[in-house]
Amino acid sequence: MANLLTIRYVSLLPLLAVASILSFAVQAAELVYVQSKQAKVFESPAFNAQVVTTAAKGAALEKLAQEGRWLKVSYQDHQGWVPELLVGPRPPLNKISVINDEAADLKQNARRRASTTTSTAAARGLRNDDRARQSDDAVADYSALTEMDGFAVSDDEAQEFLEQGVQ
Amino acid sequence: MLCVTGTAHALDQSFRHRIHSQALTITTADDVKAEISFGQNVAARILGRFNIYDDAELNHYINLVGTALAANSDRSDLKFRFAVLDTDSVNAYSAPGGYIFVTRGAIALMEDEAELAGVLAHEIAHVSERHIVNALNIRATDSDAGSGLSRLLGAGNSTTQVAFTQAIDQAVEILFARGYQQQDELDADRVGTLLLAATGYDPLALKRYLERVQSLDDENSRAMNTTHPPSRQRLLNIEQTVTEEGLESINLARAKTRFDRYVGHSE
Repeated sequence: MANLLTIRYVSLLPLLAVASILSFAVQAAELVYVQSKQAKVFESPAFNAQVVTTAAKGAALEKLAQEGRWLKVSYQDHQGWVPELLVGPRPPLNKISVINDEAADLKQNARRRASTTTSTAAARGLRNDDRARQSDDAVADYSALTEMDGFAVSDDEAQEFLEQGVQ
Repeated sequence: MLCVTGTAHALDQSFRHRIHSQALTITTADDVKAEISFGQNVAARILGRFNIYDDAELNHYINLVGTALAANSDRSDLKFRFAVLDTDSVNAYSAPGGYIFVTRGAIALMEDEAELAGVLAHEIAHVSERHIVNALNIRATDSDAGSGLSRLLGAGNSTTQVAFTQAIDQAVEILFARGYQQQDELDADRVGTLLLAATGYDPLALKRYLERVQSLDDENSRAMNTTHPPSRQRLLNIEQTVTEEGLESINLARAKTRFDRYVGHSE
C-alpha cells in the first residue's frame, strides 16, 4: 500500500513541476500600463530608434526587462522598448476635475490664518517690509483661479493645434 | 516666509507626533482630487502675488501648447491649466494638480514655440513627478495601510485643516524662496526634455532657452537663479539626457512662425 502511494505520488511530480513553472510564469508576468496619450514602442531603447508599434493610453504591456530608464515590453505581437516615464504599475485614471468651490472651502481657513499671522507679526515687532512680504505670501486670489480654470482647452483641440504647427 | 502661530504650531507637533513613516500614496481618484484641491490653493496664492496677463489670445495659445505636452506626460488624469503672469521677472511656476504659470518676462526671452514648450514641459514635469508633494514630506496616517493624500488632506477635522494650510505655506515657500531640491530641478529638465521630444518639439529647446537666460546678467535672471541650480549644471544635465536617450539626431519642430504670430515678435 505504501509503495502504491509512493508510485502515485511520484507520478504526480511532473504535473506538480509543470504547475509550479506555470505559476511562476504567471507571477513573473509583470504588467505596466500606458499612462500618456500614447506610447511609441521602439526597436531599441532610444528615441531615434525605429518605432515598432504604438500603444494607446491604458494598454497593458508585459514587462520583460529594464535598461536604465527604458523598459523592454511585449505588446500584442510585438516586442520593443518604451520610456519608463510613460508607463505605470496601475491602469491610468480617467481625467479628474475638482470644482474650484471645493478649494475655496479652505479659503476661510486661509484667511483666518493670514489674519493670525499678521497679528503675530505685529506682536513680534517685525518691520513693515517684513509684514508686507508675509502679507504677499498669504494673499490668495480665488477669482483669478476661476479665470484660469476657464483657460483650459480639450486634449482634442490641443492635438489638432499641434498637428497644424508641429507634425 | 510665513510665521507659525503658537496654537497652530502645537497642533502641527501633535499631527507630526501621530503620523507614521509610511510613504505617501496617490493611487485613487480621491487622492488625485486631494492633490488638485491642494494645488488650487497653492495656485491661488501665486495669483495673489501676480496678476494674470490681460491677453486672452496669448493665454489661449499657451494652453494649447501646454495641453498638447501634458497629454504626453504620465499624468493624463489631470486637466492642466496655464496662465501668463503679468511681470517682467523671468520665471515659471507650477502648483500640484496641473496649474502652470509662465511670466511675461520669460516669454519675452523666448525665440520660438519649442522654447515655450520647453519651459512649460519643465513645469509639467514638476507636477507629474509630484516634487512639491514629496518635498513636503507628508506621510499617510498609520490608522489605515491604504490611506493616502485624500485621507490626510481631505479630512475635515481641525488638526488636518491646520496641516493642510501649513502645507500650502510650505509649498509657497518652495516656489518663491527656498526653491526645489536641486535634484528635482535636474529631473524636471530631464523629463521636460523627453516630453518635448515625445510631443514633437525640438528637444534642445529648453537648453537653448536656459543658455539665453544664463547669458543675461540682470536682476531678473538673478531672481530665477536663486531658486534654481546653477545653469551650467542644468545645461550639462540636459546634454547628457539628449545623448543618452538618442535625441541628438532627431530634427523636430521649433514652430517659430506660429510663435511670432501669437507673441508678436518679429523675425
